[in-house]
Amino acid sequence: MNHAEGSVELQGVVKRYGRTVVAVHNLSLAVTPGEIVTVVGPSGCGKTTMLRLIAGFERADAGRISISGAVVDGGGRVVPPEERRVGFVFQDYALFPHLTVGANVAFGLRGVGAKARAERVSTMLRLCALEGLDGRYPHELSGGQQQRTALARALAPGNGVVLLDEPLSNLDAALRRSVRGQLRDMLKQAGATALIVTHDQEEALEIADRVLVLQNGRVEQIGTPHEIYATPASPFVARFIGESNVVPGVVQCDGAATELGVVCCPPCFKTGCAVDVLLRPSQLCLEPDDCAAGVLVTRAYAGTHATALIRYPSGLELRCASDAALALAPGTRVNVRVQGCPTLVVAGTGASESASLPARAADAVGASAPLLPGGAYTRV
Amino acid sequence: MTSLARPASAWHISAWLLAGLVSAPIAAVALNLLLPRGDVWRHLADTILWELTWNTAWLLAGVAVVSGTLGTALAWLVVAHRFPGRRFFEWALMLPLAIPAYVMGFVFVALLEYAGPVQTTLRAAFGETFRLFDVRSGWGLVGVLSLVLYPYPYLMARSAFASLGSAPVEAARGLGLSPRQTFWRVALPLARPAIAVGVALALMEALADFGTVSLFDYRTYTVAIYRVWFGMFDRVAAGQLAVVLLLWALALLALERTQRGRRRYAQAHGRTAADVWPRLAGTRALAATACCTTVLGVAFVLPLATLGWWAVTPGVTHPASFRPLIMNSVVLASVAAVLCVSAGLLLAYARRRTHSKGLRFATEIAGLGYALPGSVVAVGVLAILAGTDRALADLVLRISGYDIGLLATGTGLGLLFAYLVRFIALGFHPTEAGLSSIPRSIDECAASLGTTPGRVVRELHLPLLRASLAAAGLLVFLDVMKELPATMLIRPMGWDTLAIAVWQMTSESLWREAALPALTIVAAGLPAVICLTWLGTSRRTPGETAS
Amino acid sequence: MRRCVVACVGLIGAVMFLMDSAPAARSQEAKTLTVYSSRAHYGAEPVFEAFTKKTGVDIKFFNGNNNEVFERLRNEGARTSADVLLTVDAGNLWNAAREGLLSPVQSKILTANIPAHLRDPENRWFGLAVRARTIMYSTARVKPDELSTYAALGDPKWKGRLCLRTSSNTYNQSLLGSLIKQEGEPAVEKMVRGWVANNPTYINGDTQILEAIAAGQCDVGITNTYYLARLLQKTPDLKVAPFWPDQQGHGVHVNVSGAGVSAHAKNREGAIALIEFLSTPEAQSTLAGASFEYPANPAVEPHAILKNWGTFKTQAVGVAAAGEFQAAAVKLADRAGYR
Repeated sequence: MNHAEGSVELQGVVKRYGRTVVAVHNLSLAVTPGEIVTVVGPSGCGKTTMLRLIAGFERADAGRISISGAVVDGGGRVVPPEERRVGFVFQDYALFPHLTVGANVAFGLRGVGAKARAERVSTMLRLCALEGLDGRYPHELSGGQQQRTALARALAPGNGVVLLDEPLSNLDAALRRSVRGQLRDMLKQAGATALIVTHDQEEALEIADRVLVLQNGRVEQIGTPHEIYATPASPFVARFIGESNVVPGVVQCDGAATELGVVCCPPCFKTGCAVDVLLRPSQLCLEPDDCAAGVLVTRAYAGTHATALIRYPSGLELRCASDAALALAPGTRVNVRVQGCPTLVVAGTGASESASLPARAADAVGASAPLLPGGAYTRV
Repeated sequence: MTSLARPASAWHISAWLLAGLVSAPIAAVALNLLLPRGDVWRHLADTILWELTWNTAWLLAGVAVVSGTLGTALAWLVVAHRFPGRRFFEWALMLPLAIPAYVMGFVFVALLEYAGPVQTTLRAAFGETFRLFDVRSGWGLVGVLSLVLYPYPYLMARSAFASLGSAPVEAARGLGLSPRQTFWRVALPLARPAIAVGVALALMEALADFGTVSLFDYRTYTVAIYRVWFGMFDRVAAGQLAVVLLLWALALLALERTQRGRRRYAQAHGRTAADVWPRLAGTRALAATACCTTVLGVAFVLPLATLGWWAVTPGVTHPASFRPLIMNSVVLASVAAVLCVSAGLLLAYARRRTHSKGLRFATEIAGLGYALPGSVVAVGVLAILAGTDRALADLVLRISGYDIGLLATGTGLGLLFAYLVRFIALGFHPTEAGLSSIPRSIDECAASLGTTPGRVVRELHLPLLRASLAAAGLLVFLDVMKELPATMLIRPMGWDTLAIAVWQMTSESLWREAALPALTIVAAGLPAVICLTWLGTSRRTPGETAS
Repeated sequence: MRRCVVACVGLIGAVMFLMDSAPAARSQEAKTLTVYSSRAHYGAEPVFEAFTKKTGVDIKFFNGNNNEVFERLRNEGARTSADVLLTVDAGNLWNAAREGLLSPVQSKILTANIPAHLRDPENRWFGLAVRARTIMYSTARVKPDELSTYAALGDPKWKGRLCLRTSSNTYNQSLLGSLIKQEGEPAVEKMVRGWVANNPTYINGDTQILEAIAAGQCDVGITNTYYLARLLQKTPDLKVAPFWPDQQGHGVHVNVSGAGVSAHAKNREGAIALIEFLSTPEAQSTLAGASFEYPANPAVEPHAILKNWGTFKTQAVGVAAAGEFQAAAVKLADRAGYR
């Protein structure tokens, strides 16, 4: 067990609403101090619930939650939120409308002299790029400024742990992108352990040290952003993070035979098995070829790259990210090649998803998460 | 949904105690249900019960429609349009609140009855057989009660419309909606919960009213209660009838809750709805001003002028000394206001922090004293007070041999308790509305910052609730100034109030002699009304929710 | 913390101040008398000041409605501070006696001064001032020979010309109550149905009824005599006069404003003394004269306006009947459709 200041641990946490809805199911997680973990998943997957359980706004029905080594929920004992020393940034910021920015930020500072408080406030304002705004009221601030005020307020008490619930979802896209990087910097500078819930995958991958993918209250995968993207543990993760093309194929001695040709296949599948191969759009190359089976249906320009939709007579539709698509007109016959090995290969439709095995061991990037007993996730 | 999990705290216990205390008189009345009174009920069912039910329903419907429409329409007019005098009317339209309903009643009856000045003049002009409508009818009653009670829906609607800000209204305009369409499709649905609260308050007053209703010879349940109680000398059956009235009140409240919907938390600052459309001009502006002037004129200026005219008519005797009357009225009203608002805040807070259905139900029951006729509540209170007093005195007598006499009955404390039971609803509803529009995330955020619950209330909620609390306090102040039956029954000897002075005259049909005390009630209530409306319209600190 | 303490102290202080107004546990001082009165709307009456001057006993009043005063007295029970109960309706006194709130008084003075039909048969209360509830008519449009009895108002010729107070009013309930004792329920029900069939205009105030008669809204009505006397004092040329119905039969209905000694009176002697005083001729003319009522003491002359109306035969049935049959009267009114 990690006793360091600022660590967060969940063990087998269960949260039910009413009799039927299980929001969090046997969740286990360990976050090291100073780590930034983003939590993603479809709506209703329990990510906000998990955050609220850690903060103390909800009480777990089973399992144990520890913060900085001390048990805050579990074993019959529960610590109220006021005493947990966990900062929380709400989706609607929850700024106190009748207090100035300075007063908002100072609100959680208790037991310090006025001078020390003023110093701390100005430090936080500087950290969050809010200098000169301490006399303003929340409704006089822009969206980005409000978000930073909420963050400054949560960081000010010097809590080791900060929880953020969709902190950027109220900002427009451009602002969101610029604030993203700043957010990470601010959190790292403050040295806080952060759990950030977001539905924006780009954001999740960009900010995090590790990404936690939840579905239906269960952990699908936890790992570094690269691991999550490049080596998803399940088709759900593969589909949820980034785009995936699913191509059916049959295992042969030298790989899996698909409409796109033979692709690598991990050795655990027996010859003759039907498999689904998951390919990222970036793994597909386009070539115009009049004899090819695929037809370019549409293409779109997204600034950084172009995507194309290729349709095969079998009904298979592929999304490719390829600049070459720009030069081709819709209706052109194209040949699609696979570059590298598939992101994930799973048993063909008909077999349960849990029987899937991760693709070949990815290059180990970043720290690997420790395996906890009773955990609901696997990681090679 | 949050469950800031904590065991039964001081909050819960005190809320339960308070709710229990305040519900006790109502329970005392309801206990009458246990005694059989089949013969009385059979008699009532055979004769007047259905007439009573129909009359009561009709009255409530009429008052709801007329006062609700009047209040909402005026509120929209004043909030969303700019016309000459708008700033003045915004607060002035609240003034009728200062006039007791029965005073308004006897003024209009005296003016409009056959022998009154209006009809006499008309007869002189058009001949002896000219007849105007009979003012002593259901329509007359609905009209007068609506004039008295429209400020409740007006107050709520105006706050709701004002807190919309300009955004939804501008959006509607951008979509091509005319001002009228915007009202029906955007503003009204959003303001519906607040309007429902206002109409519910007005209807509770109408339900409990006895003085005005009997003035118009209109038989509602309340009239029947008095009839059975003092006509048939049957206290128990009267208590049972009162329970029926309680059920009506519960139904009203349930209906109001269905209209609540989700509360919106909006910040009103900068542009308001009125800035969206161009200023009214020409005939429209004139019509708007005329509309407001007419309403204010009929509902406030006319009664006041009539009372003033009567007060200075020679040959009218006045009560000997006014100062003690004024002092008593104002002191009682002020203390009661503080008491009811504090108690209402406690209940509202308990309701916010708990998910115990029991406690929520208890807070609803606690507010029912408002819907019962004053005499019924007063007798329930008296029964509780006297019973407690007797038990206590007997006990002390047995222990020490010393008879301490009655401690609560016939004292200021007992009277304040009666006011609490009657008016805690006024202290509770606006406060609860204000409190429920503070999002829970504020509470949770404060908790995450290590704030104790006490500090949350003091530094976060109370500042944001200032307008709601003040509104609640002023409403209680006004109602206690006007209150009659409980005061008459429970007050200590020598503690006469202005309302009692008015009653002493009107009970002998000495309307003109009642004019000066009535005027004084209005005058004493005017500062309160002005304060109330100033709170509603002033530039509050940013983010303060409207009541 | 300090604020809490200050608040608590302030609260306790306020409570003590408010409790200070609690009635004294024992008003043993024979120098004060507490009267629970529903007569207060006549204003401070000089007759009580006369009593204080004569005996030196101070009178404290608790004023209210008939009903409220009664409930207060009843709820206070044995520890009430009331010595005397003073009301404006016999029915109320009857009810108070029935509930055991009044105690019998054996007093030669009272028995001598107050006729038997104006007091409780068991001497628990005594009528002090009498008012008749009689037919009032417009002298301009109605001739006295058109009127005869209360029941005659049900004659179709009065259709649309009748003004009545509602049956919720105590005075009407007492009227019907006495009539029931006198003539039996069926006859009274027939009478009331006759009234209702004439489409009466319901006006909830005796003074308003008289004004309506004067203005022409209706031609006849039933009100108490003192309202007309008061109006005549202000406007002597008012064209409304009283008619005394049923002079060949039972006579006019009368009611009393009277007093009784509280069953738990602390100052019983003082209470009896007060009521006895109020029945003496000097007090009677002051009491009844100021409020335009007829004195209960037959030896005393009424006010000039009342004298002008002449004498008339009154009901022989005691005023206690008003209370005895009040509940029946209300039910009868419901059945007959009398609003």
